[in-house]
Amino acid sequence: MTSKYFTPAQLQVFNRIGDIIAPGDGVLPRFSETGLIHQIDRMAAYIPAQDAAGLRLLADTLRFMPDLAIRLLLKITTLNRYFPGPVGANLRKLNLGLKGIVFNLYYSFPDDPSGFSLRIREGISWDGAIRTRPAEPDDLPALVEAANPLNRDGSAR
Amino acid sequence: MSPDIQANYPVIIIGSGPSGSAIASELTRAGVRCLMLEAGKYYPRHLFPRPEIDYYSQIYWGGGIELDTTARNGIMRGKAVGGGTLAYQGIMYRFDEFVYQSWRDLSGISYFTEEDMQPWYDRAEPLLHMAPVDERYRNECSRIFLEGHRKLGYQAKPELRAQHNCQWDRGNDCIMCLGGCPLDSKGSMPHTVLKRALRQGLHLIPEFEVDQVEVKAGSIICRGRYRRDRRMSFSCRRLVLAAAPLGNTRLLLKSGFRDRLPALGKNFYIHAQWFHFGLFDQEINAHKGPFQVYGSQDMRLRRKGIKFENTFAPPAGLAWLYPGYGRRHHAFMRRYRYVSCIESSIRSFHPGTIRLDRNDNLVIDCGLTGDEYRRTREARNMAYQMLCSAGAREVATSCFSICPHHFGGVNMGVDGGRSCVDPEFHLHGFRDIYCADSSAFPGATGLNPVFTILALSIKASQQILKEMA
Repeated sequence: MTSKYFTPAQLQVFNRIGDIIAPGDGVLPRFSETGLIHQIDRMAAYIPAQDAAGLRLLADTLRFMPDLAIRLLLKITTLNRYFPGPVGANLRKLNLGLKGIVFNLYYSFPDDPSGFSLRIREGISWDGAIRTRPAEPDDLPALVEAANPLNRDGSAR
Repeated sequence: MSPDIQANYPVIIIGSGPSGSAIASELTRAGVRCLMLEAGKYYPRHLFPRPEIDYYSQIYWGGGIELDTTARNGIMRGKAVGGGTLAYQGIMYRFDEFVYQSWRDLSGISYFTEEDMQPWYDRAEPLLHMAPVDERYRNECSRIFLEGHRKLGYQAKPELRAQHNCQWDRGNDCIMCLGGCPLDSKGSMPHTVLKRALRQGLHLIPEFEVDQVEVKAGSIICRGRYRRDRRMSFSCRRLVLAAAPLGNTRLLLKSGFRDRLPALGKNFYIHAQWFHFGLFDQEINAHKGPFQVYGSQDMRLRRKGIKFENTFAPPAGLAWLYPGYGRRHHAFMRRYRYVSCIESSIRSFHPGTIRLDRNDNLVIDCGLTGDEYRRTREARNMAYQMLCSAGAREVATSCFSICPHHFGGVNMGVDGGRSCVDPEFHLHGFRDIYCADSSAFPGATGLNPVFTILALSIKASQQILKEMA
């Protein structure tokens, strides 16, 4: 389990959270079982640094808490509307952030050699597709390349 | 030219969305040498990020979404060559007197009328293929939407969409194009307006994020980072801001324009879009074929600042929006094909603000008041009635709103104390800096904005050309 942005212990905490958010139901697998947490860097590379720091702090804080406490925390985040002002806003952020991580990994069906992505896709009968190819060749990449006055290293052409 | 300046151009355009692309197209057509700086990457059509997790992360700022201070509203703004048009559904509206009346009241600008704006729409229209979706391709989600409107006594009509040759009869699903259309069928800027500008000689640097604008005698310097780490500068005689409300406002605030523009960052408006899901006993297959085919077009709803659309979301997005988690959530997701959806879009009437914190991060206050939340509840109740009347056995509303339409922050007006952009598209007090994108809109609209951004930007281009001559 490797990530450029999170330690193995932090990933383990996300797996525990993932198992509460996506516990599996016989057809759909349990989140930790899928191993999709390995692909968290697909998101982590693009989220703002302070959000990533917040997630690391959260994972470090929850690391030694029992599952029941994490479950309770998640439950409280769903009750955010009863908390006014910044408290409610932070609970909503936490709820959306954790659901975002788990569901984006779980329901995006990234390439996954273990086959769990395929199982989830079949579990919800997802079959969205583009079945045709464009008729015209794409001349835009060459136009964009020619329009750039810089080389990839930033030197002038 | 100063040694730290890479090159000098007559015009630099910051941002490659509809405004930047339209202005670039008009100026290069007239032979003006222009440089466009775009913070996001260029994605060729065969390399659009896939799967869902990748396109949310890569083509939107903030890794997908930027939450406001209440965390009830998630702003979505494109970060790629083409801006938000890479992801949009190409819904096109000519604004009517209802919108322009409110804009005249807010801005004091007299040309905001249907009649005065018509020639600019007429010039924008041929830039994109615009047509409604043929009725024979509408899916069950559309049928439910229409039936719901009919039962509640509201009018709904086919949306005018910038698209062509989508080949739904051959099994293509528009939901796959939310991260970029691999067929070039959607009227995104790179394959339409921007392409024209490139053919006319536009220079374009993707992955260049401008973080400071400095006005010196006779020239404007744009400083920023190329490909994340290489600091560089370009100078120009005239600058066009086309980075949308959050991008333009952030850049001007960071560059110290607040002292000269007291209204900078104020007058920010959104459309808060809530998804209402109905679970049916029969298959709906809302993800198949075209979606967002119909919209409510009823003045009673317009006056309330409510618009409905028959939109939908792919699995990860839908799972995120649907409230709750756990086994109950799994049960819902396993019925994905049985879900229909109506989106309500709530026009904000009360202005919010955009500011920066100590670390120059955006702090977005959408300014929503009890009035907006009351209308949100009213729209939710109407959507539930529509879904239930069509046979839904369960209904639920998304746990937050998404806001792909945002306006203001650098709003237009005649009064320099209450606005930032004058009627001729200059920043007040800065004759060589122009803005005509949705950040210059005096208020929210209740309608999809891209057609008007194009029209207004073409009008601004003529102003720039006139002044250059």
